[in-house]
Order: sequence, then structure tokens, then C-alpha cells
Amino acid sequence: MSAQRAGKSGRDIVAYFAGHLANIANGNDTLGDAEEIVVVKPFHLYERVRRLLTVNKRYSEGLVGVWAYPPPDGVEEAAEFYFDRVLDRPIAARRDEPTSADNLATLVATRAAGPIAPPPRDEPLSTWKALVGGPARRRRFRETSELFELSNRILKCLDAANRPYAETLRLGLCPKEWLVGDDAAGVNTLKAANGFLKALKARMGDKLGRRPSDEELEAAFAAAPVPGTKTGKDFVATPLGAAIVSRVAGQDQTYLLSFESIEATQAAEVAEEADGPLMTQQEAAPYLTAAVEAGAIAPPERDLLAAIMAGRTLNQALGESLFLRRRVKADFEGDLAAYVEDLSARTARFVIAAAARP
Amino acid sequence: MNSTFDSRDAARFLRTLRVTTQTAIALNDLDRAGERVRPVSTFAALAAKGTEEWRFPAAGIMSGDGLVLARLEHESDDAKVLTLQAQGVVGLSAYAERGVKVRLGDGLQIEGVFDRDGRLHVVLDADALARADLTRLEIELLDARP
Repeated sequence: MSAQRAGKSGRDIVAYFAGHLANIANGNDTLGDAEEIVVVKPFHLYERVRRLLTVNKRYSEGLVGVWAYPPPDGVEEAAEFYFDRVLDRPIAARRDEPTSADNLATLVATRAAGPIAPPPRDEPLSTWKALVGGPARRRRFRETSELFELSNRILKCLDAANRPYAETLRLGLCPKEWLVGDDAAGVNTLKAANGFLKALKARMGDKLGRRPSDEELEAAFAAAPVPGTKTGKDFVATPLGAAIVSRVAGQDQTYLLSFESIEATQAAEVAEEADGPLMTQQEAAPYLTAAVEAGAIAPPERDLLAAIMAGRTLNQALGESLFLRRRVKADFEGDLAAYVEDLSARTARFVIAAAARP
Repeated sequence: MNSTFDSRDAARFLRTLRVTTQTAIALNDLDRAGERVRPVSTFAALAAKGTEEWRFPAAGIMSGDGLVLARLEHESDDAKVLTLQAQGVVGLSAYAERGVKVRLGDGLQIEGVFDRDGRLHVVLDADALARADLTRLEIELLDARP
């Protein structure tokens, strides 16, 4: 296993954001453990979320992608657009089944400790309206397993609502220009375009800052075609294709560096479609044991993850383990969260590889 | 060992891993805001006063708890602005919209409120600057947590 220093990677910033929203909506930052009721005030919560998105660099750079917005737009405008296009984006139903936002609203409604207004039926719910639109007075999610389920349902909403935005950022393009208006691209086109860009970068030997040759364009298109066009030349003649090639050929290092950063942050590396409930600690145990036996993680690291999955806080899970404490101090400069992110990523890589084996 | 897993169960495990670790990290960050903030926070590196001019690092100086960055900016010939900016999720949770007393040296005390973005501007006139001694810079929270 790797012992190299790994900073907070932000590999899964969307799940972190979901966890953050769950904790804030549950009053975990302002209420004591003994308090049973949280009163949700939508505008107050909105202010806190807006503030997080604008002032916290991890969010403004990694999630909102303020670097992709051309002047005069700044972080305020970018955060506002993110809120409108992701958090408050209505999630449409497929085949008349409840949406992820409906499922979130259902869970929130079970916590009612006061009057509850009937949900609006005229338009699909957004993540935000599902989270704040239920009862104002709520019994808190006090068991960690309950809080995990709230976080899970928020994440399911965000996985759906955030995808077009994240795909646009991965292309190095401004979401405000490509998610609304005449040139708006659909999520499937954006995903395919990212596949094309990845293939193109590989063909160019990852040496950007120049215009790709016709051969490179066609080879990339053959490896990763974009629906609606027949050749690489056709695709780069579209507004989206032209914008991607301009970005690749540009000399703006800010965009190039940011692109690399966002690629690491929001890559669809764990594109799971898990329909079932979260696993119990007992169900997860064989996976952690296998990771230890394969040398992907150490036995104390298995215990740490098992404790987190059982609902312990990071500090409780760390316990008195000298192995873990030394590792956090020596390799992560005392940053426990960065260590847990690294450990989670190593475990996920092992399980993905094991699941892919015939 | 060469483990193989059913892909649907593996997906459930991956989702569980993703949700539980990131929720725990988010809670840890929020808890740190409550634990790390102290009634009085002192700045670790101190500015120096030369014969004529303050020598304040351009990058600013960080409070000892790492939650607030202080910068000294020029406003006019007669005044400077001390800008305090809360850092990260932890700093924002701790300081945004909260009142503080800023102490410069032994004699100068100024009260102010961090705005909703975790920023506080303290205007220092020439007279105050002449009297103040930045061998000590600290902020004290005035109000209870909202």
C-alpha cells in the first residue's frame, strides 16, 4: 500500500457536500447532542449554503468551478448559478416512479414534529425544495445510521442534478454558457464529449496548448464518438466541439490547470448505480477483510473504516491506535480527514478492481 | 488473495463507503469549528513596526488556531484597514456573523462583527496606528454561539 503523502484530494466533493448539507439541516453544528428538535428556516439555511459555496475554496473551486466563469462573473454569480442549476434544479420523474427528490422529501416528512404543508404537485421537486420544503419543526436524525440515510438520499439527488454541471466543468467550459440558452448541451452529449476529450488528450500525448491535427481528431472520435455527429471534423464544427478544441489549443494555463484539478475531483471513477439500502457493518465486513488480505489496506485501517461505517465519529474511530495516529501525523501532517479520504479511495479502487474481475 | 465480488453488492458497498466516510468527514469539520474556536485567538506570527512603516507580510498572518487570516491594507495616507477573513468551513462556522473585540498591542481595542462571508474590516487611523503596537494582535469572541 502507498505510504506517500496525499493531501485532501477532494476526490468526492459531491458526497462531502451531501454530508455537509445533511449535518447542517440536522442542526449538528448548532445543537447539542441531547436536543431532539431542529427548526429548519429555509432562508437561514440558504444563507449558510451560499456562504459555503462562495467563501470555502474547496467548494468554490472544486464544486462550483468559479475558474470557468469569464469576467465579469465572479464567485457570487457562480455560486448563485450553481444553486439554481444544481441544488434547485427540478428532478424529473422517469416512468412515473418517485424521483430521488421525492424519496428525500418522504424521509424528511417522517421527521415532522409539527404541522406539515402538502407538497406542491405542479412541478417536480428539486433537492433544495425536498430538503427545506417539509416540516419546519423536525425530530433530528440522532442515530448516525439515520443521518447516513439522509446524506445518502441527498447524494442521490445531487448525483443526478450535479452531473450536467460537473460534466461541463470537466470539459473546462463555463456551465452558465453551456447549460442554458441556444447552445445548451444535454448530459449525454456532455458525457460523450468528455470521452472524446480524454481520447483526444491521449492522442496528443497530453501535450496541450496546440491545435490537434486532423488525424488526432479522427482517431479520438473513432475511440469516443459523440452522438449527433459522424466524424471528428463534424464534431469540432459544432459550437461545443469548437469550444473544446479552442480550450485544448489555448494557452491559458489557468484553465488547463483547473481542468486537471476538476478531472481529479469529479471524475466518474465510482459511477455506481446502487439501488439497495446502505450496507450494514456486518454486510460490509467481508469487503474490508478482503482488502486487508489483498494488502490494499492495513488491519488497523479496516477497523477504522468499520468503526466509521458503524456510526462512530472520526476521532472515536481513530481510538488509541498508535499505527493510525503515527500514519496521520507522518504522512498527512495531522489531517485526519485527508487520511480517511485517502483510505476510502484505496479501498474503493481495490473493490472496483475485484468486482471487474471475471 | 484474488477476491471477486458481485457487481451489484460491490456497488452497494462503494456507495456505503462513500456516504459514511464523507458524512463523517463533514461532521468532523463542523465539530472542529466548535472545538477549535477559543474565546480569545492570538495571531501566531506578528507584524513588526519599523522606524516609519508597519511591516506586515503581504500574504497576511494566520491566527494560532488557523481559522482567521489577517491582512493590513492601505486605505489612504491617514488610514489603513486591517482585514480579517475566516478560513474554510471551520473558520466560517466559527466566526461568520459573530461579534469580536480586536486587540492591537496593549492599548487599542476595537469591536466589530464578522459579516456573513466571514469578513471583518477594521479601519485604523494614523493616530491609532501610531499608538498601537502590533507585538500583540488577538481577537476575542463577544457573543455566545447563535
